[in-house]
Amino acid sequence: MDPLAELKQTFFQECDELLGALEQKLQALDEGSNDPEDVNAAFRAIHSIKGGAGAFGCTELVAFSHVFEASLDHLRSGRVAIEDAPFTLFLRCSDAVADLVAAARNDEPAVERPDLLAALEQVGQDLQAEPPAPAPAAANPDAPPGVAALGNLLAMVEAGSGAAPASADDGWDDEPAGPVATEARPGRALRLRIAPEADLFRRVIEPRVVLGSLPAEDIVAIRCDLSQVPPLESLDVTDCWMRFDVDLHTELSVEELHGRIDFSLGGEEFEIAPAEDGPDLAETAAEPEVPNSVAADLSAILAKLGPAPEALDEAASQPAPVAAVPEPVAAASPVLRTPPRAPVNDQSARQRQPVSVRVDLERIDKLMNLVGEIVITQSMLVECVRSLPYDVYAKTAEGILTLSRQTRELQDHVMAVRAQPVKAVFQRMPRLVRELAQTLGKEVRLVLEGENTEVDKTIIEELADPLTHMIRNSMDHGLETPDERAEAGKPREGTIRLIAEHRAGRIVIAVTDDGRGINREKLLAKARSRGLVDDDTRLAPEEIDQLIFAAGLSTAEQVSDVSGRGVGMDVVRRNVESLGGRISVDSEPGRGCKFTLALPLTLAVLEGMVIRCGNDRYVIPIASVIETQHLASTPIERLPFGQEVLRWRGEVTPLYRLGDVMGSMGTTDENIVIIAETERGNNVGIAVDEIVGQQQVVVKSLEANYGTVNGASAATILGDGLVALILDIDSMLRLAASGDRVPQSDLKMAG
Amino acid sequence: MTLQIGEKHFSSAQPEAAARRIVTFKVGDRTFGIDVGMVREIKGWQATTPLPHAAPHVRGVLNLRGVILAVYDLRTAIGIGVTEATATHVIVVVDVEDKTAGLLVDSVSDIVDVPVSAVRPAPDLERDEHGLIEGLVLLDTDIVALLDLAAVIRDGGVDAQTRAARAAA
Repeated sequence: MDPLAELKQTFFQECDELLGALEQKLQALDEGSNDPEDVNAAFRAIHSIKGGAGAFGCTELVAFSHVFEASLDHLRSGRVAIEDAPFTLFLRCSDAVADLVAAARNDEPAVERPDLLAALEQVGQDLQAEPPAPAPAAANPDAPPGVAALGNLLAMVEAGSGAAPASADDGWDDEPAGPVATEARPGRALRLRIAPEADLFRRVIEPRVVLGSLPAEDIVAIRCDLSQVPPLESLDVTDCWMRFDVDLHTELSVEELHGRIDFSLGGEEFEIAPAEDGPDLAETAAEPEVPNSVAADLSAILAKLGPAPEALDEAASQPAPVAAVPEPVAAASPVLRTPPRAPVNDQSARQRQPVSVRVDLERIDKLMNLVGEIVITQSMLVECVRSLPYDVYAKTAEGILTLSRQTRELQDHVMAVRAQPVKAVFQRMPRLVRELAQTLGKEVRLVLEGENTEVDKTIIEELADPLTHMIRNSMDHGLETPDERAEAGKPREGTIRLIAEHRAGRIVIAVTDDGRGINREKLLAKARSRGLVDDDTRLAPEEIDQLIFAAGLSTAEQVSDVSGRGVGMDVVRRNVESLGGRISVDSEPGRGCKFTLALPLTLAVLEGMVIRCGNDRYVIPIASVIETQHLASTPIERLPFGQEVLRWRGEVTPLYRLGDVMGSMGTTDENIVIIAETERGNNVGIAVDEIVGQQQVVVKSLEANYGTVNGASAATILGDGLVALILDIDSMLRLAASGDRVPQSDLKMAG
Repeated sequence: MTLQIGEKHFSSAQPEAAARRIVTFKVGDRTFGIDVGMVREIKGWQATTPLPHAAPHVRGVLNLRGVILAVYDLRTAIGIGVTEATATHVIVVVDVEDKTAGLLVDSVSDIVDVPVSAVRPAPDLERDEHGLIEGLVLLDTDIVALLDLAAVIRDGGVDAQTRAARAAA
């Protein structure tokens, strides 16, 4: 990939994060947060998107985000009170920005949203007749914060006056223009000293934004003190070494000024004092405080950062491309742009903040696979060592023990790298709900819980589709229209809850709605008409509910864009099952419906108990084992239908003989009963011959080369190189319940 | 164990005229063939882990260098019983569609080049209701039945039981 495309890719990745942050902050504000920091964060996010978009020539994106940014700025500056702000509009705009980003990423034509733009421009207009935000910056060069800020500052320095150059309004910020004559104005002289920490740029704050938050007409002069800038050799361009002195003539109190600046700067980074030395002002106005050499140095650095790629050079009308400019000072013109993420080579910069690295998921996967192989090799070693003579054995065993501890640690760490909060997926849902609510004319509140539940990255990716389908289904079929709800005595606004939690070594995600529930009669009638259920078969209400997962069933009377083609839940079930997961539904007519999705926490490794039954060995995930006991000491009773049960902790627990259920080879001789937990939280006893041991096993897919195996979620390779099935308790129970029925018909029944 | 297979060219035609290179193997006294491109490797019999309630011709799964694949008994698939697998039996590892699978056969015989024109369509075999046989090739001594592997793996066993019963009768 050429470097530019790579950078662009990075930019889009960043956009995803920024969009997530933007939406989250706006959501918080919409829900009543009054925290100005949320506004700031939202502003910074859109600002960064705009910056990057400009650098990559995504003009539509720049244009839109510029207007968006401008209206958010009204909030930031306090011109519009947070309480009065139209966050619903802002949220829709953030969706629009996401669309624009997606369009830019796929090189598709962007959809224009004049409606949203117009609405955005209205923000703040009602309160004061302010001129509309400057023309969209579409045609203007733009640059990521940081480097761009440096360029801009340089321009200021060169402008000689030390003040923000009026002519330098290159449109990339709606910053107030240059200073205005101050004579004969009420107010008093104040001096503001800004001494930002060196990580200013990395916090995505630019001095110009800070300065821009001051009332433009009150600024008398701005001086930039570059004396702190270290020599070039040791200068890290992402550090900010500039200090500013701003002379103000203002009516604002010190506190008010303070309030405007502490948005972006820490309290220790600036001070405000009455100005004592008047003459200073005149002096600096006469000559730039910074020697030209420093400016030249800076320009050289900027030039060194690399010429702006030609493809981006939409400012072709500008005098000359940067790289061709012989004189360094000229290179510092404000049009200078560099790709984002200037290389950071300075060690010290790394130490000052937690550093994160972007790694290709593929690399982590390879690492994970390798760790998996090590786990297998190690268990193989353990078996080999057993046959060694005792004196050799003792020493070797010790080494192997250490090895296994280290392997496990290694594995945990690799897993931790891959673990992510489900937030990554949950975040996409509010938008889906908003858009669907609009399409369907329903009022919906989405409640998210357990967003920080961590799951393996592989699972996260697989979650998005099923969740989308489940929420669509709930919104389309489950929730009633506001009028219907009112008639049924429910609040007009429906509620959908999306809850994630860890249970029995799985991640369980529930989508609950308070809608009308499943219409069983209709569903059953449909299933009968499609021949999925025989006319004379009687089904329990719960069994009818499960028909919702059957292929080709949909009770929606109208086929809509949203759902109703009858592919949704069927596809969800298949996808989920192919991941070793399960989906179930609980419905209460008139009260609502709950879909529960259970997936393994990771698709890679699990802690398992190796058991034997007849000639076959199986692995039960430790997470589902509650306890084990001798079968002989357990009282077993037989129910009239032949089902065996045992008494365990005062409860009647069904007992299954693993050999019978799984059709194990050889003769079985059950000695042990394993009490295991199902996903629904029920207990069940499983009789097996022997517990062979406990070990970590690497999960290997059966679907990849074969298909779904009833009773097992996957397979693994044991120390001797043979394959063992990893049991899936719930699926095993279904297999047991289906008795001798051929698996195919079992599938048909379930879906 | 990997078998070395000698190569022999189909004698009665020019191999360069659109030829198919075919691996032939035996089940009982019958000869079957598949395109060499589908064969990933050939290995000796290795114990498999049986799968619960699988079709009869699915012998189970085995570990091939960390990948788990299912082994299908060709003898059962064509309805002539179950292979009593020993160390001399052979698993032909094949790529079918996007899956890797093992085919349990008695022995691998040869690799031959066959002109496309020499492949005859399979006669409408009443007993081959799943279309396991894709075509026939006449060699000097043998009739090679070309297998449609996808069909073997997909349908071979659905009612192989009935077929096995029929064969036994």
